[in-house]
Amino acid sequence: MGKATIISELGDGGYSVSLVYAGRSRVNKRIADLNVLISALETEIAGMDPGLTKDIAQLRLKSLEKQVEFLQDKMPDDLTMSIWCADLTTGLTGDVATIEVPGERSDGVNIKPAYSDAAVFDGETDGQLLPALATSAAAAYFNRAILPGWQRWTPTYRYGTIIADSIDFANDTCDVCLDPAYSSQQNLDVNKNQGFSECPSVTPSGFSVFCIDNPEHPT
Amino acid sequence: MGLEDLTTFTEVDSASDITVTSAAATFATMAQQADSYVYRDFGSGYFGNFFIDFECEITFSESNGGGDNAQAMIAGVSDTIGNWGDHQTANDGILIDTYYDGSNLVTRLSDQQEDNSDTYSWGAVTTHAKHYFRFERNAATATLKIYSDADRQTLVDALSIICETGTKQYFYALASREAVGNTAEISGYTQNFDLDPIRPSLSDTIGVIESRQIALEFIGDVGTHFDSIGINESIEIAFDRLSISALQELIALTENINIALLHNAVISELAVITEDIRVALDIPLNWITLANQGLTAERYYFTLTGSADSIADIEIPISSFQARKRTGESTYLSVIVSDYETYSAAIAARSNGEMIVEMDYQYNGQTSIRQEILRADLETIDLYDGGKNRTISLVGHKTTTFANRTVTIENPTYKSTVNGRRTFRFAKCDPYLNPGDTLVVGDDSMTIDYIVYMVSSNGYKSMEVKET
Repeated sequence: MGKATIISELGDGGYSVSLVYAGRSRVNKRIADLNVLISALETEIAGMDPGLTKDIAQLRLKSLEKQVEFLQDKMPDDLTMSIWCADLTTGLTGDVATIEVPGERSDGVNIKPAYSDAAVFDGETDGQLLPALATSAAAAYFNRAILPGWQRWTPTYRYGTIIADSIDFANDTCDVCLDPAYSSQQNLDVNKNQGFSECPSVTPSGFSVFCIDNPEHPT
Repeated sequence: MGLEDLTTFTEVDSASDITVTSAAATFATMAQQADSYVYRDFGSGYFGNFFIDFECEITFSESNGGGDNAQAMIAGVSDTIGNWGDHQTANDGILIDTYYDGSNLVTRLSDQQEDNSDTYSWGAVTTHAKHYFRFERNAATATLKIYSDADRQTLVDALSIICETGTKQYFYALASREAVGNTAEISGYTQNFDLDPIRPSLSDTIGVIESRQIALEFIGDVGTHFDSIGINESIEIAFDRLSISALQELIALTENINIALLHNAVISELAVITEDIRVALDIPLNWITLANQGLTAERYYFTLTGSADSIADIEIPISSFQARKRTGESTYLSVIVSDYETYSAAIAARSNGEMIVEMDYQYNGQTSIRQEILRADLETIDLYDGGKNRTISLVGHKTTTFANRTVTIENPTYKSTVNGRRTFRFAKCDPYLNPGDTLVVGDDSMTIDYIVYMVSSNGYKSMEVKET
């Protein structure tokens, strides 16, 4: 679950977007705080006599400067990419919510189905990608450690294929076979089940419209 | 490939000194100030390693003093179009030129980028007869062999330099010096350029069989014998400027030492055989045997480079290091410096440096090998003050891609197989093992994903190798 800003519409439900990372203001605040410390320490060093105390103060100054350099270098820029809206909704603008499959960007990124709410980004429910740099070491470790388990046992989105002749037009359900999905961590299989039966349609118009829009899709 | 047709080369001839035929580029009274050259564009990156035969004769040369000396570039490869002076300005090209310095006629092999050269003096003459040249580059070594006969059997001299390793696009059959206002002239020709001559093959076997028998005879009754018999044997095999494309077996050295004691004797020490075999190949082999026999001592050296801060590199004692070495991905390196007081200023002065860890297998207290095993850009400097100790922690990352080889290592201390992927742990680090290599341990063979090093001055050492 992430946040993207629509840059331009490419047509047929495709968009050029900027994938917006969370935590940039936090990193910038950290850099500003470090620069305050650097200024104070530079002033302090200027008044010191040569010797070990000054040497150590200068090493501490370098330590602070390296931290600033590290944060500036390693905080990733927002990523520009071309992605599809999951239900090919056209006319989207502004900040939209994204879905990452399978819970990370390894298989793909889409704008979440937008038929009902234009996929308008909601920070409360949609979440946002956070670079490890912008969080604490403990939080980064925790998230990395539980990633495959979270992907498998609390799955969010997957790619799949509607099984031929499985659509029940009366009840707007179908059977779906999921694409294989593996975690970036240890390449673990994160699909709990290989397929689902009687999945409801995701469009309000049901499968009749879906099949009209996708004439090559098996019914 | 056959001989190059020089009429297909591009000719620039500012003073109409050059005559080009299919075989030869003849230059007549070509002045030092001329802007003239004959070259062919073989396409970007064409010349990597090369092996080129050609011939040259100098029929006239002169010097007007004050640096106004006759000079002609008689062959060369480069990425620059122009005369010898243009190459010098561009710091580009592996070039051969002949010049008369007012006293001697000299042929020079030079690398303009590395600023290395080697020369052969023809003596206090202004001409030399037709000679046969072999111009070769193998990786970072360029050589020029000068022969007096067409079969290239009688070697006059061999020049050799360390050269750059970049590929080259243009081949030159001739070029002038172009020093404005200098009029010293040179005449001669270059010809019969063969860019891929048939190489001689070497199939000879050199066999040396030596047998020595030493017989000591003593008649009488001896209580205790204190004499010692010392036999020192030294075998030196040296190849001078060896250049072989494919090397299958360089040296087979077999030695049998048999000691037979006749009659009854109380023997406190039968024989001590000390052997030190050193084979100077790309990877020295002696340490493998010696290390596995526990005869070597490991040493680790940490260097913080200073070039990025315009200061000299410094070697800093460390109490431990940890690393995760990857190929094509970020390698992590962390070192701990205990001598806080001594090295604070040195580290601060090299805060943009590279961290390098080398390991050295020492045999008999002497360096057997010393090899870089880890390198990272310094990213983090942390200071720790405890009640008793103070340390500096340096951490860095760097992405390096290694060539893949097959490496055999013995004596693992641990093996695990988790999710089908194997891990081996060794109590000794290997100086040449890299991620991406194929590791052979006994009957196991696997491709290495990454290597984890943990080495401490308190004696703990491990190298853990993970399968892809």
